[in-house]
Amino acid sequence: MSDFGFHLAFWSLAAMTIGGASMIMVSRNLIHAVVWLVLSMLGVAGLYLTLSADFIAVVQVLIYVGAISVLMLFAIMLTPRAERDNSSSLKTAGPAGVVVIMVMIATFWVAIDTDWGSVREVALTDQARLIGESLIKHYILPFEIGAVLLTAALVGAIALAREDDEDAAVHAASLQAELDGLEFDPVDVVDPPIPAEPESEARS
Amino acid sequence: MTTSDDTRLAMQGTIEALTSGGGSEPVVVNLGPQHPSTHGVFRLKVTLDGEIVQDAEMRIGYLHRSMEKLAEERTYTQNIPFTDRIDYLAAMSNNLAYCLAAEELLGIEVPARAQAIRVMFAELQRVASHAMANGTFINDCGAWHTPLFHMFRDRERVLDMFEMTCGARLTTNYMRIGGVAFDLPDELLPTLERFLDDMPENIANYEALLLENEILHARARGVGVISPEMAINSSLSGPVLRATGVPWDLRKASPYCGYEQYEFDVPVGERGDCFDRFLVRMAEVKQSLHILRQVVDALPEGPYLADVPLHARPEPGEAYARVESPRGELGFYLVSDGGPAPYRFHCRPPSLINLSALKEMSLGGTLADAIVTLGSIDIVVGEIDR
Amino acid sequence: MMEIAGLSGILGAWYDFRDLNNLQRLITEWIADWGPDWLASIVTGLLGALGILGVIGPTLLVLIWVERKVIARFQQRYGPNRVGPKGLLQPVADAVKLILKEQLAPRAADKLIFFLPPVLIFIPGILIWGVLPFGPRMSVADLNVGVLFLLAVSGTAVLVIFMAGWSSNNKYALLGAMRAVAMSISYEVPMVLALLTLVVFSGTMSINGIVEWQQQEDVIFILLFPLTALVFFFAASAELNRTPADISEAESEIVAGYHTEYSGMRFGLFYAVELGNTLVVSGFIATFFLGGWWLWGLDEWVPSWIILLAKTGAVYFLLIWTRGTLPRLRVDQLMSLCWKALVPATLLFVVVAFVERTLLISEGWDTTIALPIMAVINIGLSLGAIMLFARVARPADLRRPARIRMAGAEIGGLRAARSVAARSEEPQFQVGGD
Repeated sequence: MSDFGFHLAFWSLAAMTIGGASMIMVSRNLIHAVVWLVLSMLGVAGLYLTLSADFIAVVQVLIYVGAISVLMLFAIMLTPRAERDNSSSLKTAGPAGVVVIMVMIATFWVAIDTDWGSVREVALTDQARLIGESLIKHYILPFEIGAVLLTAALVGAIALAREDDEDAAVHAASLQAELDGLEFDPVDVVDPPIPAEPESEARS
Repeated sequence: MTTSDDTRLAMQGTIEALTSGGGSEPVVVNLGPQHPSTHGVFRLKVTLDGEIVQDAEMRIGYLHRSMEKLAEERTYTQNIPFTDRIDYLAAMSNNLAYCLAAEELLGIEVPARAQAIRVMFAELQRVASHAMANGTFINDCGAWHTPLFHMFRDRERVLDMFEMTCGARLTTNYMRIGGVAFDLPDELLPTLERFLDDMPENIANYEALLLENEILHARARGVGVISPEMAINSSLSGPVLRATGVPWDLRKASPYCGYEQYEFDVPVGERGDCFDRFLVRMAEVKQSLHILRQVVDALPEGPYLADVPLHARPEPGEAYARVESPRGELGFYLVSDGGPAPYRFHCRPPSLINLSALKEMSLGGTLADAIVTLGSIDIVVGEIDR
Repeated sequence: MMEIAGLSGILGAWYDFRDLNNLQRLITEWIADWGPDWLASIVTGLLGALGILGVIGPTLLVLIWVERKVIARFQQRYGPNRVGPKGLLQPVADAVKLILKEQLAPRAADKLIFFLPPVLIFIPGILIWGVLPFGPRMSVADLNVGVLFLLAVSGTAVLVIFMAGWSSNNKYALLGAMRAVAMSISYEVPMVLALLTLVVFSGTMSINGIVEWQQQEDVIFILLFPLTALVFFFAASAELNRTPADISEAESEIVAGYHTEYSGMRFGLFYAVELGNTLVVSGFIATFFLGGWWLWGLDEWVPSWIILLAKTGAVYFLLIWTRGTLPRLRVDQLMSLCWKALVPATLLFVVVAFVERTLLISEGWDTTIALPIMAVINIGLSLGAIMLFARVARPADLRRPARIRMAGAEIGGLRAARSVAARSEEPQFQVGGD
């Protein structure tokens, strides 16, 4: 691939990634945010392709676009509506900003610190074999630890999912407390709250 | 901090759901009035927890045509076409039940040939109606219309015979007070013979296609179960009742039209689930063919219609006649005040009463089970709403 | 690669229609003579895409007709026979009707997300064709990780279906979307495992590599791994939302599932992609398990793509057949079938494939003798697994036969019911059971 094609691909993919990521922050609706996230992930997959990492690119699509995002959507759908959409409060913005800035500093540090001249240009070869071999030969311990961790996560998820009535009661009580603590617009006080009939909740 | 009304309502909904147990919000889904499996304009409002039916509410009346009131303004003969339109999939049975009630009120003897013709058409109607019921039931189980179309082919031949005899296929208006409207045409008996010859092979084909189908078993066995006690208490009748094991068939229990002359058996199921209802209907078709064969072999000669005045005025009094329609016990209750029109005209529709057990059958099952159960009850909305 | 004796005169010439790649190579080389590299690459890609689109479009129209005709034959009907000769123009008429129809959007729908899915669903629908090898050198992209690419691309379609169902703001659509997603997540597992079996055994992740392996060893995978092929077939038909696993658009339950609210051509696009996916999945089943473009030497004489299309047609007919005859399974039954039967069965054969592959390599056995023996062993194992499942996992409800008794002289209520039920003689009619 010549320079022109490469640059075209790189810049359009970069725009897609960054643009998608920014839209996640802007969009209020969490479902919209997930859709933008998918766009961003697809951009990353494309960037991997420009780096001749076809295996990683395909796995990125397979896992992040095909599985993780669907799981996110599921999680959003299964969460009650009140906790679903992005809130307008800036309460959590501070800590999140700190984290983001730290991650960015770390990324830049690595980028500047790396001696890019020593990185060889790799051809589009049988990446899967190389990755598989290194996973099984050199990195067998981390690989196995990862597998155990995932199993533990699976068991933990099942344990969490089997929420018993007691937990539900505690959860309900905390929500009620939160609800009582909220201040309402004067309009709301005049208009008594209609009981949330499930039928009126078209999108539950 | 202020928040929107929407958020607050949603939070209240969450709290309700959490305290009511289950931890998730139920979804209310409307099946109908316009829905592929409500077989007409019938509305079923189900409350789902995930896919599990927590509550089922039946809303009827979308096809109400005020027939019982209209009938009070028309003479006894003029009311016969109404009965066609009560259960449009078994018009002959409805004609028959109404005529029996009117005859009881007027004290009319029906000639032997008319009786035999009535039995013939009532049984043909049962074959046609069961073909429809079983076909749509398999469709509700998710088959892609194939069994339905095969069964429609048989029904089509029955309807052709109706057309041959009385000119109409669906709303036949064939029975009259005191007999039937027309004598049998010459070509009917050979056609019927051919039909009777072909049917065993067709039924064998359906049985080969459906009876050992593992998916059908998985979908219909143990689904929509109702106990015989509950079925009797809910006043169910027809194949829905017989599937629970209760051998109740009006043709045996209180014979009319000379059913006692014919030899036939009453098939009953064992567990009262959807599959038993399907099997009972399949077996009943065979029994109907058996009856038809006997009717054809011993068809008496003679008049086909008794001498009845067109504007008969019965003595004041009341009469109730019931027949075993394809869907169950179909009864007509007539009250006369001595005038040319009935003072009161009431129909006991089997579909409506069988439908009342749907909630009992479908609670705790999945949405798909509820649909299959509804299909197995074999409702006709025209009969429910009248 | 293809070894062709004789015929060398026309081999590789542009009119050698056995391999349409020749034509494309000619164009590419011609561009490379005067133009820059990137132009050649772009033109190559475009040509491939255009070729595929040009094939799919008309094929879909014919396929609609074929499917309707075949189904009609199953149902003792004629099928479309009014528009055009033998009803062949019926799909065209339907398409025109769909295009002319008004496109409605529910007022409460999420407008942007509602508008996107019919367009987005086309992307995986087209991309997936790119890795289908029509011949030794005839796939638009012969990726090293073709199998993974196939899985990745087919996985993204779920997201689009979810968007469609959610944005419609309709409960049927939402239920359909949830079912589609749950099914897709579940059925991807046996699908991945089934493909993993092939990848382990043939030692390559390239789709063309798998076909070439079958050619080289003179065996097709359905003989080596029959149960895996069966599972893949079923899982694929589940992913395609076809009966007996069409729960996400089960007509009798949730009307049309996730595309309930789509009208006009928006629905038409969903429909077209669904049909196209059916065709391409038939193609992949033919490729993975039936040898693809290769058929015991026939591919030297008949163009490879015709062989593939013939096999695809056979698989497609099988899909229509199952659709025409079987009822639909329930959601929970499909899930338990997937997790309790299909996943263990495919997992078993992953292990079997691993062991057999290792034996083949480490012992250096002659494949012409070892492979048939392994095929016999695997067929036996498959039958055993199926019988074991039928014994162990069959629901208790189905283990007892359904019985119909004849009441005879006993007519009445509960007492009569009990005496009929208590009768000791054999029931008159009995169905099912072990």
